[in-house]
Amino acid sequence: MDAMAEEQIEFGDEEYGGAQKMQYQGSGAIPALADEEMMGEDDEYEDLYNDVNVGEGLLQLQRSEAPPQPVGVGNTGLHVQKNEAPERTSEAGGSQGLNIPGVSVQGKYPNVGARYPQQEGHPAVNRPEMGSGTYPSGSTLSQKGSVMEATHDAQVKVMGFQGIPSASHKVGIDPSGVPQKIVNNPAQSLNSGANGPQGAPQAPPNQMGIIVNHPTMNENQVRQPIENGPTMLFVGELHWWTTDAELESVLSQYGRVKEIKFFEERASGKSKGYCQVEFFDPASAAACKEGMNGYMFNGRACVVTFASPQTLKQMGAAYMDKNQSQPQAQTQGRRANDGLGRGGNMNYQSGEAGRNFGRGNWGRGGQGGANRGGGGGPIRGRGAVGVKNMAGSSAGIGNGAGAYGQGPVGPAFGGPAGGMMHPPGMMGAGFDPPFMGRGGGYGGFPGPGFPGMLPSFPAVNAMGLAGVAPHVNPAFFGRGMAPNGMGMMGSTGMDGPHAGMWTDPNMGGWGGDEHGHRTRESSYGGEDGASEYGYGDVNHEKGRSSVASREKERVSEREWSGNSDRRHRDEEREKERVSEREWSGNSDRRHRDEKERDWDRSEREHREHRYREEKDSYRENRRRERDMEYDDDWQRGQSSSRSRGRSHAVPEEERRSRSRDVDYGKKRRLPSE
Amino acid sequence: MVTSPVVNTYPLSSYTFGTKEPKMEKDTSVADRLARMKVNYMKEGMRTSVEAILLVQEHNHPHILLLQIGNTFCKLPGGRLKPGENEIEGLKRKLTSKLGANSPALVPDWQIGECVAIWWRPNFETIMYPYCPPHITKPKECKKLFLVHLSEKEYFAVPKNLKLLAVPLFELYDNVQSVGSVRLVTPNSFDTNSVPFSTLIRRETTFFSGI
Repeated sequence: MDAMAEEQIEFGDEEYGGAQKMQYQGSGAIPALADEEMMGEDDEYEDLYNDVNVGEGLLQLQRSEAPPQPVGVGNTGLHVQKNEAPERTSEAGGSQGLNIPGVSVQGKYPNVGARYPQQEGHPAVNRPEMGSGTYPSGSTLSQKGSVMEATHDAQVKVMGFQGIPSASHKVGIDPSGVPQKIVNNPAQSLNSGANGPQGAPQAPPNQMGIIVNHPTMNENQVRQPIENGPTMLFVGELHWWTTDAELESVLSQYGRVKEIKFFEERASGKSKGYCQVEFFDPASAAACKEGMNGYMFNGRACVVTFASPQTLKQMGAAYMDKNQSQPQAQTQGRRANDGLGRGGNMNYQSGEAGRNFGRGNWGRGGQGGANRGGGGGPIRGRGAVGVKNMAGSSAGIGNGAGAYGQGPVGPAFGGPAGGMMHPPGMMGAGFDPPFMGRGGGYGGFPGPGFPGMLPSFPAVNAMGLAGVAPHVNPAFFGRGMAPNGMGMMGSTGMDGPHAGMWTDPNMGGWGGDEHGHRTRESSYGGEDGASEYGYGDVNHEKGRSSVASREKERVSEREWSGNSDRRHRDEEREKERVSEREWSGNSDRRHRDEKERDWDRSEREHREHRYREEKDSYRENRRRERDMEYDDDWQRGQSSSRSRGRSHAVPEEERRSRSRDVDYGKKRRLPSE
Repeated sequence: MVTSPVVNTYPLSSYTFGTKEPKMEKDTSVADRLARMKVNYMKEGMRTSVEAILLVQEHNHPHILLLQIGNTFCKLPGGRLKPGENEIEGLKRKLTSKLGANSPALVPDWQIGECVAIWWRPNFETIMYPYCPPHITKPKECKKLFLVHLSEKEYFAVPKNLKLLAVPLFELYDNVQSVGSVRLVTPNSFDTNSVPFSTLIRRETTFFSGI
């Protein structure tokens, strides 16, 4: 009891604001509370309740608390609950609500039962959330019910959890809760699957319940993913035309969606093919991750992974969440490999299936690339270097690479090109070493952490997708550069193929830095900054540090682009991007591989010469645009509210200096090379 | 609404400029603005805003009148429409609010011309595009730019906290930074045969083919 009481209290506090807390604290009778919740008390509590899995746990507690409670399984459970509720309330001593709920619950049960199988099981009791005795109101019930239903249903389908959903999304509790539920609600199919404990008769469940409750409570309190991890997911490997409405309709099956944020190329607004999804409760998120992974959106299987804190921060650093994304990445990687035939799997960290440098494929139309995702991850690092190369010549690479110009894009490309990237290309088919390094990063998703996700590229770049002007978007994570990226680039109006390169999302992709590579190479990472969500920044940092390790190429590259000076995160990012872009034009991002880098570099240099002039002119024009864009990106990613004036002013200055630097850098490089 | 594609422009000197009470921005920062936008979106759905392109002729080159806030940020006169409000009427309302004198008798009779550009805001961010990206089904804002035909003589009252600038077209071309986020037109605005970014200007008539 004490334990339970404590738990409840905690739970209450966390979860529901004041009202609920009170109840908790006062009433040891969890069941009562649970009932309330279930009943669907006020709308305002709906959300609260969602978070709380208490239901399950509470039930357990209740049961344990109320010995008399008969098995409670099945119908009796209901009754029991009711009884319990009142009892609890008394126990709780404080929660008035409990009492009420109990009562109301009973009445409600019939209704509830219809709705939520679970609820029946646990008569409101489990819902600590109950909070004020609003339960009595039928309306609330319905509300809750609806919420619950959604979750439940979703859960049921999605996971074995089912049992849990009713309570609240807390997954942890599920096991315990489930048993309860199952017992009570024959309807609950979930129970069977989800919880081991279920098998245990009441007693055990109770025990578990207690334990379970605890976690739930904690979770609820924090309202953070806690148990099951964050409520944030990354969904990648989407087509650029896959809309938010489509995504939402599928996501809502798993629970209430709080927000869907797409990663887009700054310059054009085109979707990078991945997005960040936030659910209200972790259970939904977990369910979604399990259930929606691989779901076909417009004929393309998506990838769902958790968003790690880092990635969340970086927005693109999807890779960071190695634990979670790793599996995905690997999957992706595999896919990529298949698709691209990349043998290269450069092994960039995330199981990237191979860097697929698909770069060439990246091209905006990367649709075929699909794999990119996999490749993307690892490639990011490379991307940086490779990207550059890509930009220029990617044509050879498969164009996809071109897009990468950004550098980091490197590996990532491999994937997308849908095989465009000829395996050799992957690795280095001509990628400049520098790019290779970066490439890894680009994975295109900086954020989504899908190692293999290179979402943007593969799909989008469907080779030949000239669509978006890659050049404009520095951040393009290898995406844009459709294999023909080079050609595509033209679409943007840029002169010269390299134009396209820049936009290579690749650069942006690096943001991820997931892979070690990436970070290092991310000297170019700056580009990704464009990828709007802040990864750019991240990349920079990473890139810088890692760069050193990477090799001198990078360093030298940096010089070229004059990035080195600019490395500053905020401002510099822009510059880097710009420089990156220039690079890309020059070099064929193709090579993403590190190894390749060395010899690539020389190639790069050659290319640079060739393209330099083109780029310069091109650059100048673009730079300005980009600058602006970058600013926006930053704002976006950083959610900073830089004043317009400020941002404007900066770019102007930077622009000028940048051009100078860039030129300078280039010149310097040549001689050194 | 004036439908002629030809805009007559007159020298800046033919216009009179006065001042009036300050018109402060509703938001103090970009973040505030976006937050307010979000709130409004929840209540009213997609925001529709309108902006006006007022042209004057100087040095044989068209100039656009922009309002400068502080020293850096420039914007076109215009603003958000009320839910259900007609675009033309709303733009007139905004122009009067920003540049019209306080006395109704002195307010210009705004001749709103054709819409030359439409910009979309896909997310609650500062960035806008001249199209709605394909993956966005619910843009957050739609901004329409209209040409305004000014007569030879007009009186404008500029709020004290703002500056009215006549910015030459070349400054705006591919140079978003200098005037902030002023996005004037889409490449294929004005004249269907026009080439993006090409402008044909004559002394008293302005035939825009994209800005």
